[in-house]
Amino acid sequence: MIEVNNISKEFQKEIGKGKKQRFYADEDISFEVKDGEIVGLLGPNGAGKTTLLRIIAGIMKPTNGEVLIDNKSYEKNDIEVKKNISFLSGNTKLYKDISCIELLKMCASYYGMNKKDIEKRINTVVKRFDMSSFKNQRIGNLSTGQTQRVGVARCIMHDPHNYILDEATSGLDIISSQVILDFIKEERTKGKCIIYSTHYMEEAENICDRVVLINKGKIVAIGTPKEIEQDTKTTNIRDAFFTLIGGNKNEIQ
Amino acid sequence: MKFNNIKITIFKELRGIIRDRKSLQKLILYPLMIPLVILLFGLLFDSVNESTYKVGINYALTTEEQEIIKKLDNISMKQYNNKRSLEKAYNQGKISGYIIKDDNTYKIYADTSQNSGEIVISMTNVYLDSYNQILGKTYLIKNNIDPNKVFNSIIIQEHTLTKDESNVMTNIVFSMIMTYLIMIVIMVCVVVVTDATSGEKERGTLETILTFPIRTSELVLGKYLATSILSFIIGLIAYLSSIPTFFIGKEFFTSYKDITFNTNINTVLLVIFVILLTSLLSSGVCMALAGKAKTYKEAQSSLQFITILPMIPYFLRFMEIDNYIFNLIPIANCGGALNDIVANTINGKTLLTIIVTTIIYTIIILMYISKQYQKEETLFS
Repeated sequence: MIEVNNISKEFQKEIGKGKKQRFYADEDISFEVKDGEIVGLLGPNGAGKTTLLRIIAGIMKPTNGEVLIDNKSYEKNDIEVKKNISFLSGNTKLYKDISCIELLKMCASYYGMNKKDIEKRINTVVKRFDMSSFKNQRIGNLSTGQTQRVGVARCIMHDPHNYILDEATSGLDIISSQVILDFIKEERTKGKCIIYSTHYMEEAENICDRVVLINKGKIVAIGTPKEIEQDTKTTNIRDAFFTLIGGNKNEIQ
Repeated sequence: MKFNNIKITIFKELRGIIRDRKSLQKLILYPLMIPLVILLFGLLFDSVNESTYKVGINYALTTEEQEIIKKLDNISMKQYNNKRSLEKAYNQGKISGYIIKDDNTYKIYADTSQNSGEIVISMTNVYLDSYNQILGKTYLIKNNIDPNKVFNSIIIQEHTLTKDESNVMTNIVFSMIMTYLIMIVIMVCVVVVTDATSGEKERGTLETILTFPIRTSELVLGKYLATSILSFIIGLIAYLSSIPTFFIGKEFFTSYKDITFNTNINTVLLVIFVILLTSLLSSGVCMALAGKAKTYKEAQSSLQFITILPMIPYFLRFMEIDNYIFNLIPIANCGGALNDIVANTINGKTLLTIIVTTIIYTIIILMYISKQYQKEETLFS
């Protein structure tokens, strides 16, 4: 289970010669993601999604608030907490000069897995994501879809209980996207806890049990897609979002 | 701190560098520079020492003049009819300078901005001074005056304090090689650090690593040690390759004949130790400087200036400035130490100062880096 409690993140930006201005990328954000649940994090560019996900993944510290992963706080033992999470971003690149197998081995080694378990797990994930044909190729030589499959494969090497997925299907074709969406649904049935950030409203509506709508660093709505649609008297989550925040429809796909 | 995480990071960084074609090319080329420099300078010194410069003249040489010129290795004379033909020959590059004789006046023409012109001026002066003395002696003898009483009224004796005649050449050659050696260590650090820090940020792979159960200190230490290991290995290869190259050079180049390359085991071990110290410090300095760079290019430009540091002892040596304070200049002092070690002029106090200061600088830099890489503006800039 992931609990996000009153998270705020303050940054400084330059507004002129030597002048800096403080601003909140995220402000007092709270929600929770239960086991066996997919919670979508939706919002336009600059809404504060990536910062929030980085905080949840433990790679950034919040200015205020706390994140609990399976009731454990990063502040007390971040290494133990990180063993139970997996972070995948559509923008994150992989090492292009190593093969898929080498990447999977390296990632698993960081999680302290022994050689025997690594070999077993590699066989499982290679089969799961149909990577046999390119598993020994260098990542730099793979297509975008294949690379993203390798990215997902490295995420599940240590069989985490909690997933933090940021634009995981961004820029992928329908087939590659479907592979990843199927994997996410499959993990939910195993009781895993998933935060799924996306620009694609329809995609979120289809796979998320609940959604958190975020704009300008603040939560504007939280609930199941149906609940939000009812509250906003709309028929889909896209229209609900615009009803809540207004703004330019072109920002959201 | 988990050593396994540091080990995985070191292996990851080394594999990344070795598999990147451009980086690998640099790592192979850098140590090759040392043998190349040794051979090129052997060729250059030999060509300077063995060159004979042609000097044009508009007069016929006397027997005495011919004898003097025979004894001078670097110049030969060629007679031309008049001033115009001398100028034409000079402009066509057939002669490096010319002498026009007008009664008892010898006018020397040469371009002193050129090395050949300088040599022509100095050698023709030697020739004309000698000839002037012969003419003087002949005159004195004709007039029944003992020329020894005129020319040798005082006796000049020259006693060199140089222990080894090859020292000047040895110092020039070794200074250059040791300077290049330190530069190579730094250049390898630059290649590895730019890839391991800003390269990783630019590629977006740093974010992935940070989600792993690894402490930032383990990650930074892994990257630092990978840089140190690789720069040390390349520095070591460069140094070791210089030893056989020198022995080969001695066979082919007369300039190297008298040079003795110190291959005493203590000297070799001391040189290796100083290379190791240089690698440890340079890696840290590079990581600290590249920390805030957002892109690969930004990191490269912020690291460029430290490749100049090893030049400091080289220039100080030529300017004959020797101040104990210079032993405190980081990295540059290691270059100075290497020069003194191979030239057998290092003293214990200087060596100890350099070792202690380098270790202190390295510890300070490592503390700075570990703090720097905890900051979000470093990790996500």
